[in-house]
Amino acid sequence: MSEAVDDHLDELLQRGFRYALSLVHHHAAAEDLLQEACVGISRRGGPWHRGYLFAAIRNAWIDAARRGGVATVTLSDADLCAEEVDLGTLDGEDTIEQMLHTLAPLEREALFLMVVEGHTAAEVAELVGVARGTVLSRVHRAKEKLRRSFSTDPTDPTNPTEVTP
Amino acid sequence: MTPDDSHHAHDPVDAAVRAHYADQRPSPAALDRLRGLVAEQTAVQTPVQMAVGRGGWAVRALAVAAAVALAFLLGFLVAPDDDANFTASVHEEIALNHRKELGSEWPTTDLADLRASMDKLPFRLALPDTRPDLHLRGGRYCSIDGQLAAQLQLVDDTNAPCTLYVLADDPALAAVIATTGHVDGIEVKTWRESGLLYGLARSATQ
Repeated sequence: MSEAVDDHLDELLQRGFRYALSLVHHHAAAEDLLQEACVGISRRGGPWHRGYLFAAIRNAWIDAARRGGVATVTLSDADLCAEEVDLGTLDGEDTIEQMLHTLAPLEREALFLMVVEGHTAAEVAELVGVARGTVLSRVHRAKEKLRRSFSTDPTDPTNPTEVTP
Repeated sequence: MTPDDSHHAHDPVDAAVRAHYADQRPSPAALDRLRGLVAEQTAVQTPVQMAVGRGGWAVRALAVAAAVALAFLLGFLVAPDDDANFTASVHEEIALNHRKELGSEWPTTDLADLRASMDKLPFRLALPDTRPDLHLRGGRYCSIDGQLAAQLQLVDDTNAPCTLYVLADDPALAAVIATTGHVDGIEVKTWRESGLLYGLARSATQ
């Protein structure tokens, strides 16, 4: 395989891993999810591009959720919500990783696709099969939860809020 | 800029989220495994075909024409074995599930009890008559190539653990051949018996 294809492949796999991580928020589980998706794509003979890989990852995640006993055919936000973490237990030292753990998987996914991958809400809606308004709600809820978790100390170097002069 | 895009600009939450995910990547071992998987599947493809997903219709048309020409030229020398490739990919999926070492959802040694618990299966769950050396310890649902399957935890006569996958012998899986393969130190055997497709995974060192 040529070096150019290698670089493209590595970038593709890393983006796929990050997307898987947004769904499961666990490093090893994200690797497993990515591998399962790649096995499926490999069986179908490709293609190896982002849209197809992301769809395969999402399908693998839904399959895993169903195998885990979620009986509904259409998975709702309630079915895929992470256990709520009491935001009052987080302090200003908590990392963004811990704060992301407080989000439901579908909230984290929508946030990732819009903020990291740069999709519009309409594009995310098409990718995940929900209404645009639902995507906006998920992102809004996610950001509200993250904002509440941030420290109010403007001098805290971990505080992502802007310091006004 | 549409209203739902405007919140991306200058939002410290967005910056923190982007910075977090930018640091995340699979482990080197996982990346090597995935590269190997892709390399196996793209071994007969050209780099143009590999990157065709990023190109436009013209690139795709050119790639297809090149592939057809290449296939025509090589057709009498290399006959692609679709059944063997499909079987190999099913073996990989079985090995992947086996490596996960997921516990039984229904731990039991009684097949009738397990059959009653796993009532969503589209077939009558049965152990293979040809393997009286396999003893049930429990089961859970899984899927192989999108088909709902039973994943059974068993031990053999030496008490060595193995995992048996049971599926209906669906036409979608007709290309799976009865054979034994090895995937990353795991021996996988597939065969048909009494209308069911079986896949048995165990450590190759057993």
